[in-house]
Amino acid sequence: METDRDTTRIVRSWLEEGRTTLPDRVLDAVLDRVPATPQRRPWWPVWRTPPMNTSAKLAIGMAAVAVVAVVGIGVLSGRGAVGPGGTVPASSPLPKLGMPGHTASPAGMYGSQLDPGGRTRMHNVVETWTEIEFAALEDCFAAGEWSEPVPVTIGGLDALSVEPYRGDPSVPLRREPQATTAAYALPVGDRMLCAYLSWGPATTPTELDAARAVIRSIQAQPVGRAIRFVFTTEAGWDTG
Amino acid sequence: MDHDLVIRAQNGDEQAFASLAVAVGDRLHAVAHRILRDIDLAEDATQQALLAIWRDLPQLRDPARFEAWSYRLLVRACYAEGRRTRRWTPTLRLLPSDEPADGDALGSVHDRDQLERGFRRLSIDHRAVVVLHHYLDLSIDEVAESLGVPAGTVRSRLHHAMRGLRAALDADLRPAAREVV
Repeated sequence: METDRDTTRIVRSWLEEGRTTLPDRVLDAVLDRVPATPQRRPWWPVWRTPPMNTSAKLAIGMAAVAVVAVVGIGVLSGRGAVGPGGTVPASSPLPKLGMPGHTASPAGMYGSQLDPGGRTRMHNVVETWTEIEFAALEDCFAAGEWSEPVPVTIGGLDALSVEPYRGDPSVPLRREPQATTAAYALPVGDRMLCAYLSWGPATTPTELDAARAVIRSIQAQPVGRAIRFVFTTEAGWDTG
Repeated sequence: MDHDLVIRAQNGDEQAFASLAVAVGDRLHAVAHRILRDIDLAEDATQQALLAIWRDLPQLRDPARFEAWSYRLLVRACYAEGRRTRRWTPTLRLLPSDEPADGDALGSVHDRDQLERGFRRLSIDHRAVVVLHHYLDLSIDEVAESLGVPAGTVRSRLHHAMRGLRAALDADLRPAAREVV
């Protein structure tokens, strides 16, 4: 029976074995392709912090305290909470999401609060089926097959997206034949809000655009151990 | 890492990028080889990662984070190569041989076989965490930054992976055919 310490020692020793040098031909192949590979320029200005003296740092620190104080006063006066994912109305009760049914809700803002391991979902009842499932999981891309993760920004959060995603049965997914699922992982504090958008071959581009707009509208923040999030939908979604 | 070199490469200086690629190439390749356990796949993943670094370098906001960022691109490339390797499965088998334990930290050929097999059963996510933490000696927070996931997720994956490897090492020594890969 190996102890944890034995296992760590053996694994570290094992990892030391193996190749450590990149062959020149691989490096040459990369450098040959560089001139023909355009760089992707960001649409946002790339900023860098210049070196600062102590006075400048102090001034910026005081300004930050002032901003925090103003925001804090705003929150305490009931104007809403500011979380890492943007502004989420925390003082008003959130409309509850329900399991899929056949009642289209009006356009508007909806939300939910998920405990760790919790999940809820909704679907579009107007067109062909499209479904979004939300879950608070430890790992949105658990065992299964997925495409290369792509960085996306949702509600001010640096998230990851994979499409298509075929997860294992422990991950909540629509399992219709020929269904496609795009999975989104949003880090909220030290937790993860997962959104799984599934659609079928007959789903129209317009419907899919509307579904993606729901994902893009997500604003989330941690509340204790739970994740509170809101999103905006057009009419036609069953939100219970 | 030379920040000036990173900034020059961000601005399209191909010579600066060549110097960067030389500086990080060996390490990226070593990590890819340990994650993928296959020399050809590791070379392909390293090549893809280096090209992705060149392509996306202008989007890196903080040159000081170049190294962590480059590991993230490498792990993504490993995902892609890992999917390729899933499409085939080695079928050749060798009869077991009686290899004596050699007394080093790794113990025996049996341990190596068991580790290799246990490691290959892990997902790329879990392998990446093990390699970044136990091979590169990155802290949990540094691994989290490199992979773009919360530190809690890194701890969980590391725990799961090490538990799997320990179970592989604890597997009994009954004579059995060994996979050749």
